Amino acid sequence: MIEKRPGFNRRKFLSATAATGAVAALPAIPGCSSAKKAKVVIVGGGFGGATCAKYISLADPDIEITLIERNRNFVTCPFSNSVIGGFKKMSAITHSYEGLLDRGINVLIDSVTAIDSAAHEVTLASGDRLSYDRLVLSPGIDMIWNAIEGYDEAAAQIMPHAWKAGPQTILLRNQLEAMKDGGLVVISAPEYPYRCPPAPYERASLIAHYLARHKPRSKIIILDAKDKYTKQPLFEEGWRRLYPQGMIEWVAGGKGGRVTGVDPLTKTFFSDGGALKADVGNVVPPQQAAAIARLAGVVDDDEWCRIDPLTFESKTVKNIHVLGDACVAGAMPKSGFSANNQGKVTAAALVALLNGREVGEPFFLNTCYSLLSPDYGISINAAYRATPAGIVALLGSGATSPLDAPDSVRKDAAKYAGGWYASITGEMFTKG
Amino acid sequence: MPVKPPAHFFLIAVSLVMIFAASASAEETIAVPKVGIIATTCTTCHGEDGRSPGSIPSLAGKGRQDIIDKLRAFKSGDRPSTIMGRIMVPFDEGGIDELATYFAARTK
Repeated sequence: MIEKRPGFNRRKFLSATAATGAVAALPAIPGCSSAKKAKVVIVGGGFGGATCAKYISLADPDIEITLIERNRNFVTCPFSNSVIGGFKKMSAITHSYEGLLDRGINVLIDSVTAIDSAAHEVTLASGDRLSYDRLVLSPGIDMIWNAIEGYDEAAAQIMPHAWKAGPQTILLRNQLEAMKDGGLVVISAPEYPYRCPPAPYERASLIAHYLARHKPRSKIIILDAKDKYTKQPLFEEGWRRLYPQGMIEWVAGGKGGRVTGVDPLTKTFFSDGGALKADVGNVVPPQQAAAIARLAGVVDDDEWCRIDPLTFESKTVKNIHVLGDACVAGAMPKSGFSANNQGKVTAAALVALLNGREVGEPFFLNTCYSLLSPDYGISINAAYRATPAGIVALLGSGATSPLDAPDSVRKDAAKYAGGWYASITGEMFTKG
Repeated sequence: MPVKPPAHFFLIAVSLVMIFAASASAEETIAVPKVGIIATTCTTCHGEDGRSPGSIPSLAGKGRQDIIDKLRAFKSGDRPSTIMGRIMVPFDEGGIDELATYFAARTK
């Protein structure tokens, strides 16, 4: 057992864990000698998994929690468009797991190679095995390569998706910086469902913010598989208010916007509307639950995971819970806010189940803020409840920012978007 | 295999349906049986335990009546807001009261 002791360096600990794969031997509460009553293993340290880990530990310190995450640091998709727009640094959207470690949660920088749901056992790349009473998967999404012909992992190094924040975010930002004035940026947006419905349009907005100041003869075209999109009137109004006329052009799916193929060598998009050659090409491809969900056997034919809306337990494999973007949460969008609320509901359900108590009725909120410039924010929100048939929005609870609001209201919304980010990441990553 | 929902879950679902049937309103309010779960949806913006690290106001340790007054005013529209008026739609008087009690009792 590794004991917490004076001078123990958490950064070194994380490194040692990653290097040696030392697992399972870490006390969840250093110095606490009593045996833990149950083991929960959580795979994926994003908005769903990190929040779930934190809230289980808040509700019941006697549950041993192990969080397995592939990456040393978590880079958030929220506000990654601000990095792409050039007014946030990567460091502002990068978070470490040390706060969770300080709470007594076992954080392992490792990846899962096998799940034995009959034996309740997870095998890690390091070779170690972890047993669980309940397994939580919050793995996010993977791209479906070649769903758009020619768009595979290699193509993503030339035409980034930047739909998982990190090196892809930097790649897209660097391409925009290198682009000549008068260049053409093309963004392709997929059909639903995909991670963060308003994000392609926020991205176009914040790229326009950069181009309008530094490369004003440039243009952005959004090729969309859809015929309408979330907060569309608010985005269109904002673009009229903020940017030169015609700087952002949106092409509906029914009018040639549906992209079916790309040629990465020439950065060309192919759609019903013909071929369009970009200077910077950003492909947001169709998506699916991340590979670990397939490994666990919890995906359906449509490549997403069906869950019980009260507990987020998989409908196909007992004692495995799936939350966040990978699951089908009825009316809830795939967003960081949704995953956060699902993490809390799952935590409450697991604590109840592992203590032999009745599971409470879940209630969820979602708010998606979008920035159209650093000082211009809009939002959409709704409240949800679980029914035996699935998660539904409460009647009358869904709404957006009003049209025609003064700039001061948009500025306040942008300020509160930043406040939301501070709060949600604080919940996830501070010791609390 | 899904976990069987507790029996009272269905009762609540049924009672909500009955409320809607009896009401001409197009707005649905949520029963607040587990205020902890409801309150933690607030903290996604207002900070863990209602202690905000950023630009959104904290709730922890505010006066109970002060919270009630503000939430009522957001709901009615008497107090202008960017988003709180919309957020308050599903909360009735009982929900407002429970949330105010919950956050007033948190440590600042």
